[in-house]
Amino acid sequence: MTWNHVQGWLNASGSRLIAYALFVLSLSLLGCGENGVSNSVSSVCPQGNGVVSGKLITYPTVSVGDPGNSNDANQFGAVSYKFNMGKFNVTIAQYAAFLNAVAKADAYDLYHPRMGEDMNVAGIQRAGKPGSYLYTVLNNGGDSSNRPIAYVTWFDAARFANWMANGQPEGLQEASTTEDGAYSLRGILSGSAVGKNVCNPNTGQTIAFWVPTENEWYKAAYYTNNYESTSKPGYYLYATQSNAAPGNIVGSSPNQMNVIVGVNFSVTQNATLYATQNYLTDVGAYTGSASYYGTFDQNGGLYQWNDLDGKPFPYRGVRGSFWFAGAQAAQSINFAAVTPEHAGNDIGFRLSSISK
Amino acid sequence: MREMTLVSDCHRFRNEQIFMKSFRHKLQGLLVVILGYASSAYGVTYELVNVGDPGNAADITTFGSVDYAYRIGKYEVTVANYTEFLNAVAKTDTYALWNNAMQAAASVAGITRTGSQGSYVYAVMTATSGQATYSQTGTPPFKTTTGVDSSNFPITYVSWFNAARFANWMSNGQPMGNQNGTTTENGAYNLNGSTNSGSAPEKNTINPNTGAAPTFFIPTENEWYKAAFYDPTLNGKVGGYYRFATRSNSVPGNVLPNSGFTSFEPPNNQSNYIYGSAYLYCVTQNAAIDTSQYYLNPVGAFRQTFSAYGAFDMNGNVWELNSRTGESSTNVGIRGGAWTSLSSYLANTYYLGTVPYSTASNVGFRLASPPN
Repeated sequence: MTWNHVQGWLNASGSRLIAYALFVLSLSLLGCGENGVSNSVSSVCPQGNGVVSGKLITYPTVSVGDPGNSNDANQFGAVSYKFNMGKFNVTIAQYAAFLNAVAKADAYDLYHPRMGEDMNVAGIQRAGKPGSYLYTVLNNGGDSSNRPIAYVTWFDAARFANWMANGQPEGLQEASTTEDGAYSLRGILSGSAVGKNVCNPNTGQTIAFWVPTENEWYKAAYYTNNYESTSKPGYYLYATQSNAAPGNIVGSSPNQMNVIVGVNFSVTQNATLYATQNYLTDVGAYTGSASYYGTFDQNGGLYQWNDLDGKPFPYRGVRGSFWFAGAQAAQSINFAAVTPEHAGNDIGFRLSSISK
Repeated sequence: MREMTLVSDCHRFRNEQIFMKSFRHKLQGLLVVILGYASSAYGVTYELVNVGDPGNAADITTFGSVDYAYRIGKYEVTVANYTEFLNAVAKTDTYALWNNAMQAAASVAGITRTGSQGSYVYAVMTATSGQATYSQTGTPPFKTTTGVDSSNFPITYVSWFNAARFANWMSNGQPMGNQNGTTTENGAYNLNGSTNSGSAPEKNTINPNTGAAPTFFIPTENEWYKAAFYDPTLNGKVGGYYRFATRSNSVPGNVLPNSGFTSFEPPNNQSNYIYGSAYLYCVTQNAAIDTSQYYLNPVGAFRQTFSAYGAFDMNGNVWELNSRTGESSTNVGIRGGAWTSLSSYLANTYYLGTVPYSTASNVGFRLASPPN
């Protein structure tokens, strides 16, 4: 419920206002209202703990423990509860499976034409007509299945989270598939991002998957309980357990990421940008460069959406730098935000999920 | 150090009466302002444009509402401006106002430093053969062939703390001397030697050196946003916001002139950023970066492109620091996009944040000032 909605109700008749109040009260009694400030994983949902079994895709996550850790000097990173973080960005193959499940008609533009056209990051091809769209993963200088999906708005990421939280159902884009679950979107394609639901209204359970808050994303990326082998907690400057400037060589060397180093792109090791060249690696390709908790590519590849502090707001956060920027943008001390309808070859996403 | 002398003189006449104290402050402020302007003859003349329309409504992004009149820098602070500053207060560079990247980063440099601590001398890096000519005839990549006079390029590799010290120095009337409370460490901001950690402080209500409101400061995010995107004539003079700081909702071009910077009149809605799906850098019109090439434009080079209030380059060239809400904070804001940016980063829909001690090759600043 946005403030505009509330305002509309307040301007309505008294009886509607009372009805609304009763409605909110009933939701709160059920523990299923939106709270708008979803900084904690609630355990008050009536039906259970939110564990859902996916049918179509498997999204690997890692456990982020150490609840109650402190913020760093930059005032980010404290999370008071356990949660899981996506080990990788959501991939092109996973997003294509999502599209084939719920976007045969694609009422809410989950497919962006540039996903199939921008060969720097493609992609997914769409065939057929509205109502019978079919999505296939492109071969773009190699199979793109395991590369991260780009050209996703925050709304796309939120709908993907809904779909995951709802158990990966197939069907039209409606409340039971993409329009509710983690986020009550109900057709929203622009304007402010909405806050996360307390409970999934489709399941009555705790939200199983969601877009990370900035603190969740930050902790998973930069926090460690063994800072520089001291067995003490701390935060690194990069999400590769390093404070040193990274390299950009694919493989098993430590502290590598998909960013420009010197003047060279990672994939090509060349300074020239070619319009027909793919610049993404498979997720997890920098095998020696995991975060403390075992996530890959939180730095480099694509920026990743975050929910800032979880409140509804006209912007959403992105962190981590991307293939066409330097490593400085990946540092913990730098952050960015953009309006949630932004879709580009610079931003992808990963999800948080409930602690297992 | 004439301003210091004035302060001492006034102290001799210290009067316990509040009225007199207030009067003394006003007098000091007046004198410093006069001396500040006088010193501009050999120091920094920083042009400002008026930003009126107090009480304008916020944009849909929640930013841009400012309920008072103010002024904002017509241009980004330049290499020449910053060199004047360094030569005035950084013979001994206690708080690292200069760093080696200002000299070494070929894509944006800059300022050389010679001598030793206590007698440092700073100089603008200039071409040996005169003004740069960015010939854009023929086939890209275009390249500077006669060297560069960097005087009018925006200064980069400046942190928010560096910018705050520049604002202090400007607010104090551009004094000469060591870096202390009367030159760089107080004025608009009480910095107390902060360089590598800590929070950006809030702006002083009163400059303790002048007894008056600070005359120069780093704009808040709303002040910056309004000066960049707001236009009181939009929507039938109700007022409104453009997407870009070029008085346009359309993506700018990035086309430079065919001849030297002194003679061209490019079309409006141009900006120094990476254009289009071919990713062309502005200066070279080429997608490959050249490590020996300068990528900045002189401030105001796109003479037909400016915000509704007349501020140039609020999109592109360099990202610009802001003070976010103005409250003390561990983070500071950055907006506007740079020579390294894609079009979406220029728009009002995008912002960055960083710590107040961070520097980069594509981040600079402009100052704001109270109204006339």
